[in-house]
Amino acid sequence: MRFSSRRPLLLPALVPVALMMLVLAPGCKPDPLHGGPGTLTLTADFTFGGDSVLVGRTATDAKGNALRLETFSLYLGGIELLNGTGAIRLSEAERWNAGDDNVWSYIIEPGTYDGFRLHLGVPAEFNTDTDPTIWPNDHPLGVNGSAGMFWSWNTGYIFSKFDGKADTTGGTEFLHPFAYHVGGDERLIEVRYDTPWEVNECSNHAFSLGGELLDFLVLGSDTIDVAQDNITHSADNPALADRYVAAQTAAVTLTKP
Amino acid sequence: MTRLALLCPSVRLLVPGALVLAVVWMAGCRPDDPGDDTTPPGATALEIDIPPFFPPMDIPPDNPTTVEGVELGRLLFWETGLSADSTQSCGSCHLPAFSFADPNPVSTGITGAQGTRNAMALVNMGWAQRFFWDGRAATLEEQVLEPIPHPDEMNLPWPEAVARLAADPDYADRFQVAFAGEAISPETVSKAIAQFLRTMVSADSKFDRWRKGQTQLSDLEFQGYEIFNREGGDPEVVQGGQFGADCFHCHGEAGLQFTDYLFHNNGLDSTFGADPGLAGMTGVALDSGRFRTPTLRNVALSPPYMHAGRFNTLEEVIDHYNSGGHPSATIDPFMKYSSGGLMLQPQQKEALLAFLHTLTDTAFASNPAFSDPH
Repeated sequence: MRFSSRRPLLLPALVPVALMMLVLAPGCKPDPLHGGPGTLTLTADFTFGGDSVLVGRTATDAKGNALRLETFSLYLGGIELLNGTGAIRLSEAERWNAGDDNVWSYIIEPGTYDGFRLHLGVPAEFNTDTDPTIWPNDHPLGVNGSAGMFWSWNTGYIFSKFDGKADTTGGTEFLHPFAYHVGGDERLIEVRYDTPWEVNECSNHAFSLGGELLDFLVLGSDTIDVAQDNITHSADNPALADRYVAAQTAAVTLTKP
Repeated sequence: MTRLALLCPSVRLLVPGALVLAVVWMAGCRPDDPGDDTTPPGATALEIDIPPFFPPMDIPPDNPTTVEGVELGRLLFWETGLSADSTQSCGSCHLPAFSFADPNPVSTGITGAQGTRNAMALVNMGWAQRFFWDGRAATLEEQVLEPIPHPDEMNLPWPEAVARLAADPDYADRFQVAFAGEAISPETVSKAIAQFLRTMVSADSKFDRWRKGQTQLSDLEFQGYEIFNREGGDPEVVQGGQFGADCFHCHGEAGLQFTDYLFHNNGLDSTFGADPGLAGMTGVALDSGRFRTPTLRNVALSPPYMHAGRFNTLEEVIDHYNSGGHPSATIDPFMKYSSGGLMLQPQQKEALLAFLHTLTDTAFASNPAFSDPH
């Protein structure tokens, strides 16, 4: 753990956290007089060619191109509980990275919720025209935490990055680059679980987000062929970015096991 | 902040520890405050000014910055007695006029042996992540430990270095004050030098002043800035190509660091027998030829360029990227090796060069606070 000589958000944030823990700790018994918090665990588990996502892993896409993965990273932003009064934010953003646990847990109040939602990307209030230096360095939106996933202060964060190289003959000569880097407020995708659910004292609730990366290139009859449509950074090739986001949206599932 | 990895049955057990952690953390949040309990007794806390648009600087809790520590670190940085024959200091290969880099492709140690990589510029090290071209040091303190005993560099075994410092009454006193009675050791030497390096902040380039609204970039410089931040390639050949230079992917201006501190293969070579880069550390073939992205701050002051100093001028560097680089299994997907390169025209290259010069901070290079105090 490191300390910061300028941490504008973390210090104020820790005080309510500490107070909340003090309040919640005595009530964590399943005691109707005191109530107790529940927990929500979000697991995001993607696959590439049916296997876990690993840098260097290869798979064959729907067009017969052999793909070798070099980067897959994704922001999960605006993670919120939904109830009759609106949304209760659990996290501004988390970052999915290959090789990380990609499991996040939150304390939640007992009660009835109408649903749960998150977004593929960074909510607009934290995205464009926002300086990442306002966050602690290791925060997913901070300068170090966002390394490789930030364009600039006025264009914001890369929501999803899927890149590598392909052999368009299906072989093992991976020299043809592909890079689908998407972002922009208009490409923020909401993923919802809309079934009402009850949180009892000390109950644990799991949500699972998943998807197959190869399906991010296919939506119905529209298949992105890395041999032809291989590069987008969104603003430079918005049509391809939109196709990718549409396929990604369809391919991602959020379930409550 | 509600991200808490707590499971309910464990909450009562975890909360006390978490509270202690929170209290300790909060107590350490301002290590530069007078009276901060991480500051060694007798030492004076020193606050490093964070320039506008820069990220917070993470300070290790076991090495808070102090006036005495920085002074000691500066003396040690320039101490030739830390080389076996007392001829070289850190500053011998990290020259101020070159943004504390070595103007030679590789450095020559006291025995005449040559290293294999260019000594990187020491600029804004307080924000750096993973040190050396291959990232083998996780912290600044770790990085400092290596050159003094390295046989191809200063070639002084640590026990001898510690003995020399302990035999010097002035150093003995300074260590006593800076580290509250901790023995002189490789660790305290590295801590002091790391403290000094963290004070070496460069934030007064023309670009910085422009970002703060204090000056204007020339038309040529601004054109170069736009080229820097545009996608590379001819859109007829490269999807999304914008005839830009595509620099921003790795040298982005987030936090005004002009580096992502990540590792990339920028197409210098097709094979990596001479230097595998990151793969030499990780053993992962896919890391072959990947090196840490250096900052572009003061880049015009710090030739030669690339990990082994193969390019003498920025013009050569731009020409390399313009060529697209040499294809290989690990070349970065952003290099335009398969599409004819960036296709920058001479006037665009001139503009890009002009922009790169706006990152020069001559006040940093000539700052007397960083010069040899001996």
